[in-house]
Amino acid sequence: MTAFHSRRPIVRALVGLGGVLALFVGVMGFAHTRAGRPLLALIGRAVHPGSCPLGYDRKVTPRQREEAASHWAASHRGTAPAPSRPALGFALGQTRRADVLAAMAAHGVDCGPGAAADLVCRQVPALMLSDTAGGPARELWFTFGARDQLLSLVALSRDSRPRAISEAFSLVTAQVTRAAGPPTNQGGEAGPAYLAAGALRQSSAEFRYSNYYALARATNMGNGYLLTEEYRTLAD
Amino acid sequence: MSKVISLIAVALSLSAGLACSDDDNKTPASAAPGAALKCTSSGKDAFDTYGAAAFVAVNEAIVANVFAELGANGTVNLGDSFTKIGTGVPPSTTDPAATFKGKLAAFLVYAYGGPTSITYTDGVTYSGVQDMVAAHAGLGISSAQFDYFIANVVVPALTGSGVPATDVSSCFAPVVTDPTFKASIVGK
Repeated sequence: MTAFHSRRPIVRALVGLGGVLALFVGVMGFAHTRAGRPLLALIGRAVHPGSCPLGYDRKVTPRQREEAASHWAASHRGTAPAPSRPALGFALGQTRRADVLAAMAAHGVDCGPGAAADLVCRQVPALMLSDTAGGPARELWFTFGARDQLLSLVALSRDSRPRAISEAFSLVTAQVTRAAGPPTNQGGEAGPAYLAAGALRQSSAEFRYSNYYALARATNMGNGYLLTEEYRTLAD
Repeated sequence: MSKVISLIAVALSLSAGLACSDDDNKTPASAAPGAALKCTSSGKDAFDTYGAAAFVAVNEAIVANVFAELGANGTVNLGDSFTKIGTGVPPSTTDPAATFKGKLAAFLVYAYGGPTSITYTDGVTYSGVQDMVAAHAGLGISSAQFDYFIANVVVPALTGSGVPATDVSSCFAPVVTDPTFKASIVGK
């Protein structure tokens, strides 16, 4: 009987807490329905102005992006430094957004903020990227840091012919090898015959250095061939 | 070592869930997109070839690759659809992350010839028969983001889990490279 009396406040507290939690879940659930949008906006303005109150749809600041990249670098860093850090003619850690825009405008290439990328430039001819960059035209996705410096560059290029993508893959791999050093990981086989042998066949080369990361990956997409290039500066 | 034990545990858990499934639950050959595909290595469909443990490993690898990608590049390459999981905005993202992962596993198992539903590692039963258009409604996924996801997240998850290139091409690729499948996800 005593024990029953002593447990009652705890039970009341738990029930109260459960009620509050249920109310919170209910309100948040309703706020995310179409009818509840005004409520969501109201909560959002109070917590994260103009956005989801939990902050999932917040734009990441350049500073936060640098921190995330630094965290990622910890698990992808190699041991030796690369003597040079090629990135399709752009200087990782130095090139600024205005430099990219000016270079692209000079060649009549349109760039703009992508749905999520800092800057997206489409149909960039290989010849304007560097003296030695071959292959098809590329779509470039740039990411910039807090000082507006280039943090990473991703390039996508497509072609219906396996030879075009395979040769571009070999060229990129050779260029990075010459400038930075040999690949630290390789997958698949180089050559158009290997790529063409089946959908989702891949040839890949990864370069992990202490100050630089690069990746080249040729993929048979079933309805064409895709080359992904990734160039990244690794912060200390 | 703990990772191995953990993998074995989740594999056993999934296997147990599948073991509890009714035989009638097995995908009819005509229903699932990948059930009719035969892996070069075995002459059987992907699920019969690799089994529950491998599908758990691939599913976990896909999710890990997504997080690694978001950690490295934020939403630059994949877009912001994965960061909306659990927010409910748009409504197709209402499921929390654990549910999303379970549904993805169930879809993969079903799509590649396994049962229509599974009990995943969290003990919850998920249906693999899913409406791709509804699942991606309002996300605005671009063709480039889809291709990046397949080439740089899904394929490395398969090959990194030990699926040879010949089987990737023969019994996994046709489902995700099918234009109709892509059209059900892109631009919604």
